[in-house]
Amino acid sequence: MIPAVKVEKLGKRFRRYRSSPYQPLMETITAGWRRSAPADAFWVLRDICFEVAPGEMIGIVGRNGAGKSTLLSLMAGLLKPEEGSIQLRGQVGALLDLGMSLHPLLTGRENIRTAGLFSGLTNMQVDDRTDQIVAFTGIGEFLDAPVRTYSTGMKARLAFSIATHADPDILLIDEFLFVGDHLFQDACLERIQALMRNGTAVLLSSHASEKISENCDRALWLDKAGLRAIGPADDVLREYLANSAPAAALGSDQS
Amino acid sequence: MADRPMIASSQASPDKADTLRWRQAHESPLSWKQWRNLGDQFLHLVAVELRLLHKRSMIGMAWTLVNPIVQLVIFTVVLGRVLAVDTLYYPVFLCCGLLCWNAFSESLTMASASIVNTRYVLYQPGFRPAMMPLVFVVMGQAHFLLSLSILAALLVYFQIPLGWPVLALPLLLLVQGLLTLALAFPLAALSVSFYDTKHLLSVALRFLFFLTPILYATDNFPRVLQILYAANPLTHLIRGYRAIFIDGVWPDWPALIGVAAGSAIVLVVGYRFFEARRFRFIEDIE
Repeated sequence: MIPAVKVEKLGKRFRRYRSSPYQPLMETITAGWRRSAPADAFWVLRDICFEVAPGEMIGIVGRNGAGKSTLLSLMAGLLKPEEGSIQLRGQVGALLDLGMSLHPLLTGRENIRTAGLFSGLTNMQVDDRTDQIVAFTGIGEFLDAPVRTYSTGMKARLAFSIATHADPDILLIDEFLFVGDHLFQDACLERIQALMRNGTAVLLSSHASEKISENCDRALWLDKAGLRAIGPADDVLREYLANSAPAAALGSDQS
Repeated sequence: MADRPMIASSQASPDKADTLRWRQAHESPLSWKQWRNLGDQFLHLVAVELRLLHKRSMIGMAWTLVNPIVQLVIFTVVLGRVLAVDTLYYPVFLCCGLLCWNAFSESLTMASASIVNTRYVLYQPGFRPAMMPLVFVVMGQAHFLLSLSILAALLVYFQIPLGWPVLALPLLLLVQGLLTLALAFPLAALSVSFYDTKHLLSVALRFLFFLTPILYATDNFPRVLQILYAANPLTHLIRGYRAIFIDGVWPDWPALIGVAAGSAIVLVVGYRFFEARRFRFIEDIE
């Protein structure tokens, strides 16, 4: 089997900010234009190796700050790793930051075209699929209203629907499925399973570990910037939950 | 507990993977289909950003004409009549300078803020941020083209005949676009990390306005000032527009080629600076 995703020795370093993300220009000038000093940087991910097969769904668990979102952002090409490599076969679809990829002032229809084109569809394919995308979301008459008038649930449905109707070979989902109600979650899982039957590899990060053990084939546990364990979802989650019990959490929590 | 062996997937796959034509994610050269996709994305973004810019106003794009007309009237009255500047066809002379300057400063201001203001595209997988400055420079040039209708009206009013040199207009527009884009890349990248960039740019543009021969001809200026003006690439562009529209002669080719070559060099350096910082955009933007 040719893997859809192959991650090797992946490492990502972030710079630590002093006060605000907007580092005032004067501060930089007075400090001199020194490149990010080693003391200023820390590793969010280091030495991560894994593969995902086509049609496989892999869950990513870990505490806040363990690097789950960073891992998915690296795979989506939003961030660049300092070490190692990521190899992906085919088109990548991503649901990373809910609502961030939708423009509030543009209509649902315009957002469908934007996200569709960025997912590798042609203009004609976007035209052909708009009806399917809308049917899944149930936004109906809101299609030509600005997205700022949508509820959180509608935005989530729209973003999900666009991403899953663009034929992704690899689908990256960050904490996404768990914003909606149960009906929405079930519909999403059904849609994802249909994609998986067609060979889409799915990577899903979540705190909600029961969802991962129910739906994922395997799970990947990130802990302290490293890959703690990877294997059958049930086994990994049992150990993850045993480790993140309140007593254990108090003992090792840094933040 | 964690020592118990888990199935390590990297050992499960055969080692002949390198023969299977892996696509190195996000760094591989683009296929023809991906280039076409980029073209579609570009045209869509231009349309969307144009609509966002004009959607809430009743007369929409016509506002791009109001501002230069008001400036034109004020400067013509103040400089042309009150201070009695002695220049042939002064309103037309002024119009060439003002339209070129407005297009340059507006394009550059919009393009410099292009990454900060369009974060929705930053979160799309596979998005090329370098597209955004280009989108706004193309938008600015479209506005410029539209505003040239004011100049056309003035040319008709003063009955200035057009000659063959007008054919150099697309070339002048292209060089101006190149110059704007060259400066927009580094400024757009800096704007993400340094909020002060847009304020510095607006101060710099205010200085540059008076170092550009917009309101007056520089022929009788002292030599030191002449050199200063000649060092400004916009001077040569504005003289180019005046040459083809008012004097009916071809622009000063060596100067124009100089501007184009300089812009091209800055463009390459600026683009590389932009690309070197592009992966910090998501980290820095907030």
